[in-house]
Amino acid sequence: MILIKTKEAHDVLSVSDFKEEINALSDVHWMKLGRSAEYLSWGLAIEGQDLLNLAICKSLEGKRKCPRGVNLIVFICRVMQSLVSAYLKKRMHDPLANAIEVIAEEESLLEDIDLRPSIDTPEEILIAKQTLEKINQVLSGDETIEMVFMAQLDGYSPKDIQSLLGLNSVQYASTLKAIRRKLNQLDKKESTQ
Amino acid sequence: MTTKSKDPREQLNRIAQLLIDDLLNTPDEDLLQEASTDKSLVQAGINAKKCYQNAIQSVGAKRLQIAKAEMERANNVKTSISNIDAARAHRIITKLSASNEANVTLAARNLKNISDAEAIELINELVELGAISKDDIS
Repeated sequence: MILIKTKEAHDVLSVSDFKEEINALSDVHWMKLGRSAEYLSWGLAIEGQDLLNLAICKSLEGKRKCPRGVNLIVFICRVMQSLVSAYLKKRMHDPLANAIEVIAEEESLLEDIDLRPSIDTPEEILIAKQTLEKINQVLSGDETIEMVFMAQLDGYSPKDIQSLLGLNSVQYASTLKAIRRKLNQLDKKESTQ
Repeated sequence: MTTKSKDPREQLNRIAQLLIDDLLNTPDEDLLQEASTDKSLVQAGINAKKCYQNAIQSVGAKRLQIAKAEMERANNVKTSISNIDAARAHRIITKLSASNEANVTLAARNLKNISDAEAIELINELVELGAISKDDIS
């Protein structure tokens, strides 16, 4: 007998369960969410707070459902990531094409309508480039960090990066930590102005 | 291994994912330690909490707005048809009973002897259910 598992209502948190879990988050959890939202908005014409707000709104409205057993912070980060992906997808279009109404087939493409860019695409690209240059400067001087950074920019997976650079999982994790600590020095405001 | 887009916004997004991976894997105690020397981290947490409070308010306001619009719509339907007179209601029911429309055949069957109030109520319900349109009774 073959059993086909479908996503039942009990497999995901209800809105009230979601509220209960989010109300139980500690200060450090909020720090993780707030900082993640900031990272995801780097170089973009959107604010991290708007992104986080939207992700929570979608969850409170039941438009995004957290599977049971998934860490709530991980879930909210994934929602933010999907919103940014949809936003970028639309912003990748030719600026002239943006002047006409786009009828999106995927729901994810519609999400970005909620994220209002504060500047036009060419300016956003310029700011993103400047932010990248700044990050590059901050990370320069350590060969392993530079290599991990470049490989990440090129879209390699963590597994590929470790294999490419001959790092074990502990070395890779400590390199990521070093990168994050260095980039914490990067003033987002300064980089986007 | 494939090289992905060189759009700087996508590249930044990949860096963000890297940083988030590390952040989420950082034990809470270690992050609290970081926060003791990095006030921007504390501020990020305060801002995030505010986002939640704002989200609660805006979702609540949106729900209220939807509920109000629904009530308004329902009231508009009722007020717009409540002035139908009993004789007109009976005539419509007779007409519907005689018709072969699938939407209303069951509802309008054996209704010759209903009271005036019941006739008006029935017409109102049929309009509300969308079985007949307001144009049909005007």
